[in-house]
Amino acid sequence: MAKIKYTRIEGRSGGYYAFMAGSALVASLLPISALILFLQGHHVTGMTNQVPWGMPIVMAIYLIGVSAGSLVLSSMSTVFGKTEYKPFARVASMLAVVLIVAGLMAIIMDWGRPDRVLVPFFHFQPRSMFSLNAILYNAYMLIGFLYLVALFRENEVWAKRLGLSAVIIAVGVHSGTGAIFGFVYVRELYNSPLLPPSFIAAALSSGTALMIIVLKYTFDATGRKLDVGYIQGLGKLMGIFILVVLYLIFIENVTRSYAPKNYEASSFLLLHGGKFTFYFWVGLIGVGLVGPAAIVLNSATGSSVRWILAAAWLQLAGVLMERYLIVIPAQILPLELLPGMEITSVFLDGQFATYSVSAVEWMYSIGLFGVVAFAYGLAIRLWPMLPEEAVMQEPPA
Amino acid sequence: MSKGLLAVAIFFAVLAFPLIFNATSAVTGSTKSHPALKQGKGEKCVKDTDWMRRNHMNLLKHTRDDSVRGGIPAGESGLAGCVSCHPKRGEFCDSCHSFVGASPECWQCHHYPV
Amino acid sequence: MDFDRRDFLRIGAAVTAGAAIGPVASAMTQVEKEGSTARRWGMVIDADKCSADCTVCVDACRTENNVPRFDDPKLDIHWIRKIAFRPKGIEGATERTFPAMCFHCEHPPCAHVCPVAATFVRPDGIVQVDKHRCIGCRYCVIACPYKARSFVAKHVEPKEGDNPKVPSRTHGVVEKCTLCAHRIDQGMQPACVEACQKKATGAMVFSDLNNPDTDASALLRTGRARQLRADLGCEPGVYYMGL
Repeated sequence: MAKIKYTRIEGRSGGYYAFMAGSALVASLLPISALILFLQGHHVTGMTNQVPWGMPIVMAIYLIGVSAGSLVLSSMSTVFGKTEYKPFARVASMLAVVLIVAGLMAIIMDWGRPDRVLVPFFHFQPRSMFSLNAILYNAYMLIGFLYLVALFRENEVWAKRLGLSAVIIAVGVHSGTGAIFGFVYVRELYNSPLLPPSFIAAALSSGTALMIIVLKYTFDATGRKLDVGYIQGLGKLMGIFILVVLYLIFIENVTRSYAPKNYEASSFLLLHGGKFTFYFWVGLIGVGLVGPAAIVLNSATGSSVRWILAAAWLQLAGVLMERYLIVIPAQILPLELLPGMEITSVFLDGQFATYSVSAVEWMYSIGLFGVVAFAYGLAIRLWPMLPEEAVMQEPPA
Repeated sequence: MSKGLLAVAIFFAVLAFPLIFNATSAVTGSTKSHPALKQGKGEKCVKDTDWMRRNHMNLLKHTRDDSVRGGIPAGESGLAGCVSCHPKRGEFCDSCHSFVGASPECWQCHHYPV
Repeated sequence: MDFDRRDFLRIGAAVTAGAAIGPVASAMTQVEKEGSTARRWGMVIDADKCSADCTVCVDACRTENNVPRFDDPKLDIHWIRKIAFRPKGIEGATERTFPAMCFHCEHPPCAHVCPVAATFVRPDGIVQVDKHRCIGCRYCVIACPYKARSFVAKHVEPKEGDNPKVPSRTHGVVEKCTLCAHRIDQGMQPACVEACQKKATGAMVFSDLNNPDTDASALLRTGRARQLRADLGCEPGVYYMGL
């Protein structure tokens, strides 16, 4: 394969400045809302003592997922021998590092005491998935960064070593993130051994979707040549990942619904949970998974860049919906203190909780997207991340 | 190159500003005399005054960890022990803390006297 | 300087060891007073004796521990609450009540999930939150099967009339029933139990469950007491009769 020439983007057009100004403006919502949270306390959010985890956690696991997904894509050429994807290795691993940083920001600034950010480094609790993940996330961030450095120095040996380590840690990171929820045995909608693998599957599908969107728009905006075959290949890949996600969600829900003790939990999510049921069937299954899978796996629409791009957007939104449906409904269901009894109390025992995203949480979540966009825009201008052209020598198998 | 050096110089100048300001300014901690603390009751403190002046926070922190996490009563070395000789926070703790500009988090939750 | 480096290291090592595997007895060779591993503080609560309209235990707890009211059920902090229950699907079944607080489990899920070991088990079985260390991640609130934990979502100023023996709180940390550890350490009973016995029906009994000669142990031997959600295996230290 001919040596790929990477260049910085020029970054002097009005479009670039508009993009950067816009994303900086959006990104500024994050520190503002984080400061409000820190000074005011969580009563400004929709989070309560019944639903202690809200939109910030949804965003955190979403961003971490997309990060792991794009890292695996970056390593396709270096680790898995799919050399035709080499042109995108740099930009994908850069996005992986940016996204994991944003994900960690989402977690930490949602703490009640973000000023104690260093405490987890001094006190380790091996039984806590959070504590283990703190190590995994930091190792992942560091190795992802070193991998990026190796890619820049064109050091193929180290790119392969670090790429492989990064992939292994990415799997660990995502299994760990899934286990945060999967290990909570008192909540029926959390407790599942399938959460870790389904986190990985959704990470891969959403990571691919992000790559499709980022590559298409960036190459178009900077006038670089991008072979249609790449978008088609990534589209197919995304379709396969989505099928895995669908399969895991199917198995998880069928297994749960089989046991009579879970009838209440399952029927809440699948049948009469109001907005959550709607989000599940229409938002996640319909628009987020089946829709994009049908588009990219259909031979007519699956070869059209426009359709694939639409499918990628749907999938990216669909996985955000999936993360929301993992985090929130399990907390809405009341805890069974006395199985077989109806219970009530001033602490809302035995009642379905309510949760709605507050203005501060919207600011927080949208701000995180702004941070990612701004960091991406800055990085492709500062360093040669993108190939001058991405032309396929041979069509992908 | 010189541009870079200039940038580094400016960075360190800004960084060192508080030090330079305090060293040259007329109103500094070093020239002001210590606030006069009200003499506590009793003969002497659990440690000598000079030691306490520098290390009372460490002592309180260790007795805090022992009593919170180990269930070992802090006794006279804990915050409650201070109260028995220095009954008023305003006349004791605060006068020094406000002088050195320290705002310990203790009082966000803890009552004094305990 | 007699608070020397060796001293510092010794305490440091003990605290670190405690953080890693739960507070260990070796941390307390110096003053082996409270926090004895030989004890297991626990309660037996008789729901048959608990009258539905009585909130003596809850009120006593709020006074003793300065638990604030925000008058918003979503934000309110509850260390102890009265739970009303009746069998599902039986028309006209009588509603009865019992108080529920932190059950101070032997295998507390909250302490297991805490990333910084801010929640820990004292050697005498009391599950405590070290609010000096809590980072406010709220994983414990998610993991507790008994809804014993509250996150402080709004700032509360220490105010006049507070019990000075118990600290107030800042927003951003998680808290829960301490089993009135500050009273237990002085040989007293938890405020809720004392109030129940002095002002109400005495439905709550508190003592060392490891000591066969205590009231609570005698009640356990009747064979009528059981833990809530014993199926989860958390081994709560609070038992109920008449549920």
